[in-house]
Amino acid sequence: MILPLRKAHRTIFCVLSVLLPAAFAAGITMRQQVPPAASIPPVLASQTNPYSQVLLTESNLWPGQQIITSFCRNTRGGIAAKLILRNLTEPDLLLYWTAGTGNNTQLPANSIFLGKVDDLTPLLIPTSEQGNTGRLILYSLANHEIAASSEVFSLPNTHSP
Amino acid sequence: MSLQYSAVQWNRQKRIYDFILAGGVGVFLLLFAGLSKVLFPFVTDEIMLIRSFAAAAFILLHIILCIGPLCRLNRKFLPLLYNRRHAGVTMCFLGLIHAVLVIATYHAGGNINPFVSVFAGSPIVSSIAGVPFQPFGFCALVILMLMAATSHDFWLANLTAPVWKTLHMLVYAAYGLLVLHVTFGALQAEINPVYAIATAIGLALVLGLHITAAFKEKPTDQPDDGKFATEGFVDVCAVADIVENRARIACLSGERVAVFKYDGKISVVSNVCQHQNGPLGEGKVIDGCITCPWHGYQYQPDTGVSPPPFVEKVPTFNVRVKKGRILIHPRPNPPGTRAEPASID
Repeated sequence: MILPLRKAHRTIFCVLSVLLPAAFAAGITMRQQVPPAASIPPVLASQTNPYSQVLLTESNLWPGQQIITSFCRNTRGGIAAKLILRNLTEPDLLLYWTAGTGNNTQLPANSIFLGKVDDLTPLLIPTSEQGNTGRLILYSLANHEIAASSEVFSLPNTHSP
Repeated sequence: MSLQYSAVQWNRQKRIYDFILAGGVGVFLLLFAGLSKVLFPFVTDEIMLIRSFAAAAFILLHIILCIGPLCRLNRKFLPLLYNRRHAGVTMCFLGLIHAVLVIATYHAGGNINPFVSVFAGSPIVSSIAGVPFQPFGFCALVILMLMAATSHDFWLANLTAPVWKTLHMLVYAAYGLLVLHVTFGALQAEINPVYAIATAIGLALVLGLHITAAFKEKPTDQPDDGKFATEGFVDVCAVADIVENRARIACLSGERVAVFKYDGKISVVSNVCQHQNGPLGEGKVIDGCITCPWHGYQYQPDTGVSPPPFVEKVPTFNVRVKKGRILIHPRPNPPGTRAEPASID
């Protein structure tokens, strides 16, 4: 009847009550922590990121796209744009800056080429454009078309008083 | 299951249960997605979905496993047990979605078979000699899918109760595998103590409730064989100890029996319902039939047979009443054998 089932139940829980907490405790206590460094080793000092200071991060700058845009500053006052693309899969994307408020379907003639987009490399914006109003444009070199265009915004200005 | 009984298929209680279940799961998924967007804006939608379905399935499994012991400890939780299998199937479905998303995101599109990749893939970080957490989850999902596929009473009848019950006891193996899957998987990378503490609380709850319920039930399993009267009958209790239309559970020859008092008579049947091994002795007599508190299966108290058209049978026991004391013969009659009820007068 029911007694063999109750015995099986009891045995199972005697085993689980020992094994599971032990495995859980072992898994938690033995996981590796990322060791923090008090200072950067000399061999890596020359490889420090010159754009370590983040001035601004926007996640809603590109209508209809999931692109996180960060503007970083280097030690010489230069500003670079860094893009993290979540859903844009167009090939060979190039980043342009276009001053003004116009919304073009073609790449404007006054667009300034900033560089090839990847998740790692900040793209330097000319100092002369700092503080100006305009938009960023992602252009697909493979498809020869604008892949995405940001809203009109003002670039940060590290030289303003 | 009296003459007015209608087959237990979709009824109001089941609809309410399923509505609350589906609503709860939906609200959880939405809340999880919303919180993920706020707290972790850099997480992609695919990762967010993987995490949300995993969390929903894992939490629902804890709730399901707690229902059984909670019902032992307090009868107010019995409504949760009534349709527990629907919660189990839902939990399996959520886990399956999580698995499909994981395989599509991390294992598909390469030159290795995705299922081989699950077993050949490395853990998130090199910890404890690289414990592979993904096979734990895969094996747990296989068990849960087997259980979901055989959750209907059709399989209970065709696989026979012992086989079916053994298969469904594998839920504990699945739970253990999932705890390992989470411990050696997500918890290796998520070092925020909130996640580890939440998992520990869930584990403690499941184990603690089961152990507590076991201790509560243990005295009932102490055999009452010591009080022998004459001709092998065992003195179990007084007639006055039993509430009208209710039962007292006794332990004879290592098995539980239910002693029912009704209409000035005493009848004794096995305490184990033939449906899902529910405790008949915790039920009551309704329309002249013993009614199981878990799913409402009914049996005639003198024969142990379900009223037509149903065919379930439970063993009966010969019983006598002498000087206000109930005496039961510990040898059970074959299921469906009529045992003359003992008159209280």
